[in-house]
Amino acid sequence: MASLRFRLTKVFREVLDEDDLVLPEDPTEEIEGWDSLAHVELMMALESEFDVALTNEETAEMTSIPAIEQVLSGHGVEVGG
Amino acid sequence: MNDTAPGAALRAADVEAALALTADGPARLEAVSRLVERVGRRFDAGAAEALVDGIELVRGSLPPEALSEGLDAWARAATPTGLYLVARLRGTGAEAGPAWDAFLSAAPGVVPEALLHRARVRIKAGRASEAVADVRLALHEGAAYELWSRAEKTLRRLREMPEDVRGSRALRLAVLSGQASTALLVPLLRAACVRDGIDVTLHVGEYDAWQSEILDPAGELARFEPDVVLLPLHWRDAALPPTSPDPEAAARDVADRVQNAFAALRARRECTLVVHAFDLPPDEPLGHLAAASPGGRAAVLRRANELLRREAGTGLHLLDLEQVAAEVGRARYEDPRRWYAARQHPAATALVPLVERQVALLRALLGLSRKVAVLDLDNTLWGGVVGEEGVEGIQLGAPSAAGESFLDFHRWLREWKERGVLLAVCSKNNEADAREPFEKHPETVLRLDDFVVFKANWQDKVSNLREIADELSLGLDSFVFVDDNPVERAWVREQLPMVAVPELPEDPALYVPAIERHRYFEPIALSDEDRQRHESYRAEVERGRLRESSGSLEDFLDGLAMVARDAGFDAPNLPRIAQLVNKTNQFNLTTRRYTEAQLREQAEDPAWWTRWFRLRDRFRDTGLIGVMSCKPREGEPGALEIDQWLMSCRVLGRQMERYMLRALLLHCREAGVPRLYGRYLPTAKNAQVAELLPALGFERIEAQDGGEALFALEPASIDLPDVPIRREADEVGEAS
Repeated sequence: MASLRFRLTKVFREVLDEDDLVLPEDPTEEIEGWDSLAHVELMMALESEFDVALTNEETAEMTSIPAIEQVLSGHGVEVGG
Repeated sequence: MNDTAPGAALRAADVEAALALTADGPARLEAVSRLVERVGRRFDAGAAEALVDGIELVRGSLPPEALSEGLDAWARAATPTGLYLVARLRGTGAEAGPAWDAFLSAAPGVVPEALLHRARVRIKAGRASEAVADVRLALHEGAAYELWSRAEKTLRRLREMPEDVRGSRALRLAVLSGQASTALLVPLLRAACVRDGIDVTLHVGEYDAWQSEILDPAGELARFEPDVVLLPLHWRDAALPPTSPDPEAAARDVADRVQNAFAALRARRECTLVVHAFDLPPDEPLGHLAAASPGGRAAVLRRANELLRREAGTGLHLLDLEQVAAEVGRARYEDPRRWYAARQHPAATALVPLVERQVALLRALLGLSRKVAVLDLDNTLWGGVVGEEGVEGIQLGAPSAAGESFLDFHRWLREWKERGVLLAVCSKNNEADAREPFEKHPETVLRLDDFVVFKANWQDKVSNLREIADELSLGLDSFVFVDDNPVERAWVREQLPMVAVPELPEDPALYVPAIERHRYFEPIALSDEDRQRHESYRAEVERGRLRESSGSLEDFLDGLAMVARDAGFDAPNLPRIAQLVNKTNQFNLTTRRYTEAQLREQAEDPAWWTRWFRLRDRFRDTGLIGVMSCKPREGEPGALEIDQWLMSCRVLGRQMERYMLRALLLHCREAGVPRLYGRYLPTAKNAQVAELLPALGFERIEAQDGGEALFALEPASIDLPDVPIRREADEVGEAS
């Protein structure tokens, strides 16, 4: 029901502990705090939010918002809405 | 179905399905309102959060005044779900504070997620202490990794821990690393320490560097000077092949690596090592033969654990990973994906149960384990209300399943009682009604004399709990309160936040796991005194009655026929001495905490004088209840200074302190000690001994502002105190 961008924002705010975080439109813009430890937590949180199981190959690719959206859409998560 | 009370069950998926049909703001708001009405008094955190998402997504197309009207209506209807929406949608500023208060007092039970929301609002409002209280309760009831992670992040928002909620016990904890990363573990452990009143300072070791860090005499670990070192090893660290040709040597080798590390740590400085006993690898090329073949990896690991267990107890403590695996389930215990991606082991889902065990052990080492279980009666120890239905009417034992559950709960409590946990009753009942099932019910396992205190009356439970604490001379922070009534639980939580109050599920079959997962009563090592504690407290209550009925205090004390034994610190008594030294708060002149090894060093130092004391009377043997030690006074040859003088609160008011001083004075005279010094070091809990030394004839020679004071006397020129306690001279064995 909820749009993908909305749910991603929720996950990122939770894991990075930034209440007002806005996901950047520009895919090359860095998100502060997204280090390797946060990445592990992000991947776990994404799995639970979208009820998917990600392979390590996928999680290694998911280093930007568009990349995350692409992998999730491959799991049948609707990107629009 | 809309009218059924207390409301229809609603899950997150139902909400999503229902709201998918409405896209524009006002229609969505209306749909949410209908759902809120439909759930009534029921509450499901996932569904409530899905409703919040539903509104958030259409905020753009929702006129602010429409939303505001909706919020007002939900606030007036005051159902838990409506109040949750109000709190979530009112924002995260100060205005959300009262909204969370309203939700939390209407919620049916503890909602950890909501407590964390309120904690964040409170932090913003500068109410740090109250925020910490919320986080503590959330961590007490919540058990999911995500929740703990969120709680830990909430704590990190505090710039510093407010003074009044900082832990009462300081701990320097080093967490080293084997092949498993500790990156996710450490934050949870820190949060657990905050929850349990441990003021922790952490040193986190480098990845897989435990051996070199321990062996480096000048490295960071050595400079950190830890009290406790946690070594979270797992099966990969044993580095065993699937089959070992010489299984005993292989197991010995694995155990030796840990023991050598332990020896190296202790050679440098006194500290306690907590190490994970190895879990077993999930895959076994030997198949079902792995367990049977002695050289198989699982068999060798089990053997290594056994060898380590044999050495455990004195400064080395094992934490059984296999129990954690069993608790969360083998399939959820390991996640190989996280292992390869981040060296995470065990899986995040196993971390909270693991940390609960780690922190329970830390509490035990610091003497913070809880000691008393205070129990409600109706629907807690049996089904039904005895005052209404009579002994014949209550459910206890066969044939009903509920009755059998209650009976098993009796058995479980009885086992804890045997292990030294004190049981007490606190029930709103007529006393005669309340006692009857324990006297007359044919199935009851618990009997009246299993309880040290029995309070069945119509007073409120907070006053009763305070009285129980007084009667037992124990702090409320050593209490666990077990009651099936959520209103009583909430009242006690609010009034006495130091009392642990576990949520109880509706089905009595689930009472035991609901309490057990908190690991309130973790022991370090079982001593005979633990087992006898119940008897001695009971006798104390009896003695209280005797005190009322006999004439003068002298007569009373004489009537007890007390006999004491005392001797220097010796090996068989060291575990109990260490326990007493680390747990005693009230009658404790200096509150110096020592490890068993440090105490052994004092015993072996000829310049020191050390003494343990046991006491028995015609009711009970109270066991080893007193500890005293003296060290040479610096700069004054021949003179002694009392380093430690402490006594269990079980024997307060028995003139045991006079007996102890008498023993010390006898030694001083014999050894020709010209002058004896004693120092009082004040703490939050030991005010009762502030005037101990002057009351016994010491002269005050120095006093400081904080209450610290130095006293002295000349042993040759003071009379030996008279005491109503006989010395059991012939049985005393001097320490060799």
